[in-house]
Amino acid sequence: MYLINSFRFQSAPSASYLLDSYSSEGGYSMRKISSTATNCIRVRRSSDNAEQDIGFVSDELDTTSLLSFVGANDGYVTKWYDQSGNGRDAENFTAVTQPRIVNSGVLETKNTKPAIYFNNDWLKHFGQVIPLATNPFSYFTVSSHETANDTGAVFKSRDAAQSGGGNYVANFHDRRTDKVNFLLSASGTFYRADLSVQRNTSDYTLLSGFVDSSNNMSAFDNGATGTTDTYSGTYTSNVLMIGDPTTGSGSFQLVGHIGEIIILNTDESANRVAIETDINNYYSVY
Amino acid sequence: MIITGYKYNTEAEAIAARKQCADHYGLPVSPDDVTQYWVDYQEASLNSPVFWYIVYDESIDFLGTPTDFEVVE
Repeated sequence: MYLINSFRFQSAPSASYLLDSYSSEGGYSMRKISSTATNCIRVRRSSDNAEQDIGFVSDELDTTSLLSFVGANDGYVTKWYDQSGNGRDAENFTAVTQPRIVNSGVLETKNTKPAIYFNNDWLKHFGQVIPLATNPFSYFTVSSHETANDTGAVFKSRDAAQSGGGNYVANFHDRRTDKVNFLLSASGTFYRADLSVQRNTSDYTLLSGFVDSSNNMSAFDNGATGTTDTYSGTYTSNVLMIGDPTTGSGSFQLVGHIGEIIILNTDESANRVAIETDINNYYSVY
Repeated sequence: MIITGYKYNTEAEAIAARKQCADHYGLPVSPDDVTQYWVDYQEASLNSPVFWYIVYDESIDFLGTPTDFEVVE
């Protein structure tokens, strides 16, 4: 009589990745959030401006390869790879406005995890449309803004042909009493869903926002319920900007760290707690 | 909005200045690299007459002494 151990023939259990469970339109993270992702970021080192792709080790940024490549110099992110599978990588082809990942040989971190530091810097997805221009959609971001009583854009999505403010969708990290989380400018009118409370600290905050198929907006911060709004009118959106490359009165440049941005073309408010828990378990935001 | 930087009457002049900065820093290092320029220029499209400009950064002092000028928003 032969006994067969059924466990012997099973493949090893695979790790659970967030974007394997939720189809995303844009996924940017310092950890591996998709089983198909291979590269995390592309980095330029300040010593000779050479660039190298950096991937993952044990589902986290390969910091050994990163620090070996950069050495005692500065390292700047030239590309943040989109892990959604849609190829919507965010790039910056201009050296002086690229965000930083290594500062004089020291890894940029927030809450002990690798984090990209923006100091009026930005990354853009120049090509295919990130479909924030139609409802429903959802976003989840992990960011800090390190200037008191100020606000910075974690991301903006707008029509590239617009000049000035125009119509757009934005996720702000707002430390002001205005406490804006989710702003939508449609047909020249602003609609907004705010934080639950003013958070005038330099700490990481997990921000999420949702639009359902009836134009109803809602927002949450560190799992707490913020305010709601309902927009009307139209807007267009065909370029995604991480940070804010614009200048002038309509500019909200970020001075702080970003660890993760996930954009979905579905209303994931019913799955909000599960997604936020996955993110918070890694970044220890709250 | 007052900008400190370098102002150009034609886009061709701005492109030449951008190339001067890129050449100074040896960019792009490789054809596959993302980084193509050290700085970029912008168009003051709402000004009359229209002009082009590069925002000042201490790393491009070799372009000369920057000036202050207004860009209409």
